[in-house]
Amino acid sequence: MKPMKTFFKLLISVGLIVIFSHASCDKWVCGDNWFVNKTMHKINVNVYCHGEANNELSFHIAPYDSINRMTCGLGGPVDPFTSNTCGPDSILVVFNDTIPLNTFRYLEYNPMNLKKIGKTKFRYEFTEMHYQKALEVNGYLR
Amino acid sequence: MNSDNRFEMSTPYTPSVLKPKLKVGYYHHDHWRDINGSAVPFRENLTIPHVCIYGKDGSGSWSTTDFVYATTCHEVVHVSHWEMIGEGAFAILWLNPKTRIIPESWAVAVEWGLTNLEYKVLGQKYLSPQALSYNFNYGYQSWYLGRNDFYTPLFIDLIDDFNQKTYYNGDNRPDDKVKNYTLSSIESILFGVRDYEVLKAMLKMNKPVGVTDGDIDDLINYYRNI
Repeated sequence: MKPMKTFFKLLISVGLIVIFSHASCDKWVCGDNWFVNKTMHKINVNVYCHGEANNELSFHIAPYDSINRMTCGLGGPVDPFTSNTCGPDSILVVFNDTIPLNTFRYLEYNPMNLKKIGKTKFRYEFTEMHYQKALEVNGYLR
Repeated sequence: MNSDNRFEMSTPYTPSVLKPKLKVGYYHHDHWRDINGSAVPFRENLTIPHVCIYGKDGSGSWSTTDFVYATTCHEVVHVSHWEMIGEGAFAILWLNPKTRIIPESWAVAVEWGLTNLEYKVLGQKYLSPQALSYNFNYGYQSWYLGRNDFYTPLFIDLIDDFNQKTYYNGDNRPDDKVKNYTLSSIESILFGVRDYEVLKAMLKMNKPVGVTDGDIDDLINYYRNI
């Protein structure tokens, strides 16, 4: 029985070493943020920080197309609309370079609310609803 | 680093006869694990430091220097927390996925505070507006439910005056009406904290003027229910 007891003690010790040797390991994780344009319109997503357009965080998507914005951070990917010098004051979704929708005024259309579709995969869809809202707030729909 | 430039928080680690000096080592890359930093304060090995910082991430890309600085602060905060509450209590907190938010989010808050402070000092020295307006990862304020399980702005939310729920909208962000705690006051509170109930009770006992018990409950319950 003594060898068994020693074996179990050894097993527990190895287990503890494995647990503790991984203690406080902070992992840099990158993730995919997918933005999908499900409309027939070209979309520009313009991010404004401190009142100025931020080229690093802004992007555009062709009709019926999608783009991937990869971001990385400790433990998980950071938000694709944030950097060390930019916390957005507003995000404008502009259709066909002409019809803007301020998603910070109509927060239900805010593209910062990406849906989690995998451990490090996020997705946001621009749909006809966004376009209709943009038309409405710009006075094209009565 | 004296107490003035670490927000009057305690010394992160105190060596003694049985506890050698804390060794912090930098390596370009951890070839075995995809990590940027690790802290194993109880490890006594002549060749391996207690805290390891890596310049490259798992994909082999170099991290920016601000991130390396922040990661170093983050890991040393783990050591400080470990020393403050003891090895057993820290292990219980860290190994339980429900409470691991506490040590990780505390490390996030201090890394944010110290990295911003470093850039403020540099900004004043070199008169750089960009450095003066620097805010590491924008205070993790764009964090939302589902994005990152452990590294949350829980403790930053106790300090800042920014309510993500009203700013960004949605139930996937905390309703943060709490403000004006300091890093040193939170550190004192964390001395006895092993779970969210104690954390709430301690925060209520030490709340700044204008903060209500209900505000504290709302904020902490949000993170507790992740």
